[in-house]
Amino acid sequence: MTKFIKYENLDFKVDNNVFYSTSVKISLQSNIQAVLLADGSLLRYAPQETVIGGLSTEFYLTGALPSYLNIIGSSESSVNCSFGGVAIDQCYIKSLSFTASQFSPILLNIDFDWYGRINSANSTYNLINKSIGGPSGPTGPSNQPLSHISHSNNSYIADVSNVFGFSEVFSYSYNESCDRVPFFKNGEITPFRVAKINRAKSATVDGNYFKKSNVSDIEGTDTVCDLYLKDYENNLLNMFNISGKIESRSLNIDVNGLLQSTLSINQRVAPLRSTL
Amino acid sequence: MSKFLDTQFSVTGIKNFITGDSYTKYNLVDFEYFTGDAKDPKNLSGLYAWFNLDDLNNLEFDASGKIYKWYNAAVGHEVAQDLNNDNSLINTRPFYDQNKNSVTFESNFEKEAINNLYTTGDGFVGFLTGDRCWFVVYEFEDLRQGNYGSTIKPNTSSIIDTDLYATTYATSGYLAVSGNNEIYSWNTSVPSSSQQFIINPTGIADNSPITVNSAFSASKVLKNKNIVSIIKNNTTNNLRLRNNGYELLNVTSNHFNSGCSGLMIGASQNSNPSQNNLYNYNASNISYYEILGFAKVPSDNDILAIEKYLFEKHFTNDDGLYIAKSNFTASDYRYAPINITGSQFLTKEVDSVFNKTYGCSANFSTKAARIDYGDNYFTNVIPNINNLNTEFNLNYDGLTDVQAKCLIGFFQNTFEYTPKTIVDSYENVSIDLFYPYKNNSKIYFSDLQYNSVEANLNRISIKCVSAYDSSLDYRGYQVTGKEVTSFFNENSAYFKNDVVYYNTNTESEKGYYWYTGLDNIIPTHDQRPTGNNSLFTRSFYFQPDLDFEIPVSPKFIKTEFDSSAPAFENYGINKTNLEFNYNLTNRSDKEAEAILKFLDSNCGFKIFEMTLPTPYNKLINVYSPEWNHTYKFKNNHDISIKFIEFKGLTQSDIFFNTLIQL
Repeated sequence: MTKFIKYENLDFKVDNNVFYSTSVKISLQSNIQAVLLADGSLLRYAPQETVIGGLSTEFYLTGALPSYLNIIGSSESSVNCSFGGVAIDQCYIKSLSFTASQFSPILLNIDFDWYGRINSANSTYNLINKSIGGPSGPTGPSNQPLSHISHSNNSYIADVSNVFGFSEVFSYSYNESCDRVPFFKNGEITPFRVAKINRAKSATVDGNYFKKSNVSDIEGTDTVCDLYLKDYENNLLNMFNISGKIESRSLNIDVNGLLQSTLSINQRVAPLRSTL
Repeated sequence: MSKFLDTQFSVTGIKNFITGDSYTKYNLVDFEYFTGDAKDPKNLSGLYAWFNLDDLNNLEFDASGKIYKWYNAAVGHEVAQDLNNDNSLINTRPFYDQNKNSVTFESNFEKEAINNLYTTGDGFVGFLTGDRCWFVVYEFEDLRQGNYGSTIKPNTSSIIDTDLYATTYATSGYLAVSGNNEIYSWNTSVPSSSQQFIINPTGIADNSPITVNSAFSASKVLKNKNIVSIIKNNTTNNLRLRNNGYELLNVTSNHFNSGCSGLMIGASQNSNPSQNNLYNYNASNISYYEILGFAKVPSDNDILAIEKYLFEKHFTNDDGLYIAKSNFTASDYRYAPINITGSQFLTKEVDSVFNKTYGCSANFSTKAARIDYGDNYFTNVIPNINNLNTEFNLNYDGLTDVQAKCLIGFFQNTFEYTPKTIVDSYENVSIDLFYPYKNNSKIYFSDLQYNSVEANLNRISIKCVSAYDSSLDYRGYQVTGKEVTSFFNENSAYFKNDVVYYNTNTESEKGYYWYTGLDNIIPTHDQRPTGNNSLFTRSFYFQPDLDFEIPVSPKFIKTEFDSSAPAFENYGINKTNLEFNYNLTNRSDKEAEAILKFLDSNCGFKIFEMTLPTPYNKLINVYSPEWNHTYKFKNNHDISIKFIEFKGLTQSDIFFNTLIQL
């Protein structure tokens, strides 16, 4: 017989701010290489780089997007994350994404790389305690009404450059990402800098049949979109922008007989050196 | 800018050090000791005392090499105005330090030694009826703590004593530095573990010292040279005290008044024996580079001009480019990098600002000249004691644009250093190497490779050389850590790849040995380095990686003919002389250190044994003329070694051990 245990009131916190997370995953990845000697024997497994941790979570945004979740900004500093009794001091954000569709709440996905140690922490917290402060203060959020979470009801994407070619948007997704490159002082395994490289944004939009004649001219086509992420009650939580090129278009009919076109947009974010 | 032309640097934005200006971290700051011109002391009137070391004839030495007279170089001085020590006891006289070009005075408790020199007779009485000033360039070896208990005052270490007849203790014309006050804090405004200047250490003044800017701690500049200036207006009784350009004191005081017409330098005695009988002998050693005395109060410009004369003469490479370690505003001259406060913000120690990152590498090659004799016999002639070319690549990865600019400027500035003496190379860069190499090599930068990785992400690799390491050092060239230079101890447990130095009366058995046994074994008598079943070896026992190559290229004589096929003839004996490379990758810190110590101790030319791996399995003699090493990651090293087989071994080729024991 299998027994499933459900943990209650485990907060996911970033820099002491509690997030309405639906899942959190913490992982570790080592990079070792077997060393074989001339006589065929195994000398050892040699570390090629430090152990890199991964942390990913999905959450509903209930207030303004915190600045430390800005992927493409110049800040490279780390944040502290805690969950399930563990705390990690050096977490470096590397991606943020969400999908909005069909009158549903919007879950944001974020991924971190992390380094160093896992520490123990008391991360239990009673979310139904009405006396706590919020919404994103150090003591965590108040018991938020469901209407205050990110939701596609009023969120929308604006085709500023008018290139979509379809009149209805079924759904859209947005992603900001960068690669995090750690740098280590000789003799150390905790990085002194985790640089951001390859900053990029991408968006995918699903809509109805496109009605433009030049839809095949996708190469080099400029695209500017604004994405307004709002809660159910039309409060703006964050505005995203993508100003890139169309990467692909497609047209398909699914099993339900729905004719649907898809447009994907990519932007390589290239900050000027003088701005960093 | 002080001495730089704009064309000497490839980066812009170098800032001048100006009091009142603000600086941010990684600024390159050009420091000049004030901006006016220096003035030769001869060109300032009133010069009555000038003790310099421009010429060794300014000193007189006794039979033991100690100094008993330092001639006064001021024109028109009298015999009594030289500095003398008539006491023939050796422990009372200073010595000449040729490395520093200084007169150095010792204070040694074990030897009950106090060195000093002093004027005799009437001193400078004929000159000094009124104003006077002194400029002294000095350097303490260290400032001993003098923690004798909570009721015993710390030491005072003398700088200058001008009381004419006070050859036994200081009175009113005296300048010293108080000992480290970790326990006995007699001046609560001076931070613990720091020191301050004192003018009068006698009597109650100790407990209530004259305020000489008590916030100023001299502790961190004591190992550096200092210029102290004492300016006394005998009419107004105004006394000013400056150290390295910063005015510490400007008060009305009787000190350095008209009675102070002599000069005593060295570890002179002070007068608190009732509290501290150790006071004399446990002060600090002090060196003097130059002393000037003028019978006047110079103008402020003249003070700066004389100080600058001394600075330019004695503070070689202390001007020039510094790196700002943090944001600061240079509100006054305490922030000059030659002062303690400034040294906390401005540095030439690149290691305190930048991190060397993984990927650092080292290349070694011998300068040995190979002489071939035929039949594959040859010999290596070693041209000098600095036999190995050692080149390092220091890796600085993950730099921001600001950091990269700073490092490039610092790199270029090292080529602006000047030699300390006319026979020296220009001054080396003060920088540590990386594991497992020693940190006291004289390093000279040679090339810089800059790579832009992405916006605000840069990589710099600096190539540098260590030119003055010698095979005469028994510890080795570059791998000299305690872990690999300790003597064999028959009571110690050893672990694989431990390195020991085995000292024995049998010269051929003396030297480094490598432990090849199991971990944590205390070797028996038989298992010691020269035992019958030794667990130690001097052969190259490290195995290469599994994918190794050993080419075999026998020699033969091929004679080509224009109109027919070539003829092949035998090449004498020893047709095959193996020449091959080993790659030893992903090795641990310990194994890498043992391998590098092995190569280092064989200096690129010594012959050693090794057994070739399967399928060769043969024991041969080889030497390793070159190798390189990359520090890939923590506990991960790549080493590549070239071996050349050596035939015709004689014992005399092998051993070259110079162990100097003191």
